[in-house]
Amino acid sequence: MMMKLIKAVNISLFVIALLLAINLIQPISNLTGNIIYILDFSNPKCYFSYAGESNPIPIDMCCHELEQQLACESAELKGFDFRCYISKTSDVYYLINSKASNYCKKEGYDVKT
Amino acid sequence: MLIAIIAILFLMNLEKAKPLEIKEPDNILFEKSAYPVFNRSINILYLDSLTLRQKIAQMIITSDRIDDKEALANLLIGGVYIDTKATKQEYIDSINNIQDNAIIPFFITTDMEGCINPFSSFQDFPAFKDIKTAKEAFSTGYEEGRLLKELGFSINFAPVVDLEDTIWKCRSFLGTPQEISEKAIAYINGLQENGIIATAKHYPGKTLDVNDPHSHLVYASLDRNDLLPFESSIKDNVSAIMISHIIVNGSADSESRPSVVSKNLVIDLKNRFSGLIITDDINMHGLTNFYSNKEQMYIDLFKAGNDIILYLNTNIKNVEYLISVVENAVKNGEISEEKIDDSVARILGAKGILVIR
Repeated sequence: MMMKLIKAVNISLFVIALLLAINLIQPISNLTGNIIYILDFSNPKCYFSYAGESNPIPIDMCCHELEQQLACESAELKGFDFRCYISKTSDVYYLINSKASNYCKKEGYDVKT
Repeated sequence: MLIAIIAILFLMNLEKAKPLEIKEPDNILFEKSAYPVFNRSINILYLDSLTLRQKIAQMIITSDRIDDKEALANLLIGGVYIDTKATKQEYIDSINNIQDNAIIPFFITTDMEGCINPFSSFQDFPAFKDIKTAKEAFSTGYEEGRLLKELGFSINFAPVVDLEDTIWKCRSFLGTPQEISEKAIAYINGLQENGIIATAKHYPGKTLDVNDPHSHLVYASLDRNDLLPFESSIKDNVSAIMISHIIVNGSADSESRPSVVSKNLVIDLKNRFSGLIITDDINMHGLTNFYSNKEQMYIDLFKAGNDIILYLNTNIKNVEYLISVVENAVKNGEISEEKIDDSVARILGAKGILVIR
């Protein structure tokens, strides 16, 4: 019984040491973002919508713009998960899927999804 | 044993999370001119009173997401990119809060380009693609400049003068290269009449005309028309030009490197243009994917001759690291200090400070 307890404590200590070591190299929050991103097999999708016309934006350029949006809400459009905007009533906004949101977060951008 | 390792790791994590401690500098020699010009006394700064680190810091614009505003001021960072806010008052409060700490005033910057309008929650402006005449371009530039001045901004990273925007489809003016040049000049004049520094971008052109949006390194072949709006803007006294990460050949040649780190391309521009040369955000993959180590990237950005490095980072320690890398490169003779001094003089001049070298 005692041996089992020591073993459990040792495993817990090992896990704590491992987490602390990982956090030194890369913050745990980023690592979680990375794992979520890897487990999602879809392609990142980001569209810019202006005056009723929507166009795909390269993901690298999209992340910077997403960070500048004030809010994101669930999108009611097939293939997209979020609609991000500065003004809720404006006809200028970004449509993105979860993969794009996770990608930008993984890259350190503040996306409000 | 395991507990000892955990304790050491815990202390190392604590050390990593510790805020940067930079004392308020007391070495900067400012003086008010004895002879007022146009009834205004001018601030005079002795360049030699700045340390090398402080001069390098003046060449960086970073993000207002960095919470430690005191560290930004004490490091003597050159400028801050302001994130989108919901109201006018939020902008004014945030900018005042930043400038209140400043020893040398910060450049306060934004991207306002018509269809990319961070102020759209309280004021709309026409998109560039909807601007039909140079007169309309001037009045848009003037109105935008008036708002930016009211809020406390000093630089707008606009106008986009790329001949075509096949990505957003609304950030560029429409028309022939000549018409685009005329609209760009008019817009620049409108902004600059309000004391806002306009930035013609993205030099040398074709940056918003990406054939393969999945490719991170972007290549293009330029002709003389691509350069025309930039040449016209220079002739008409635009205050700043932003260089992109695109790899070009043809009428401008970036030597198979991203334009922003091409010495030939930047120096050639610098020989013809006395304003500020600003990089596009150096976090973008069009630049970072070209390098296997970021230290070399930092050095090349300064070596190429850029005056201002746009580094939109959220961690002051990363910004401080860039400064240290460049400082060492100057000390090793890899980057000339004269080049740094020249850029800092341009920056301080643009801030309305008379520099004595």
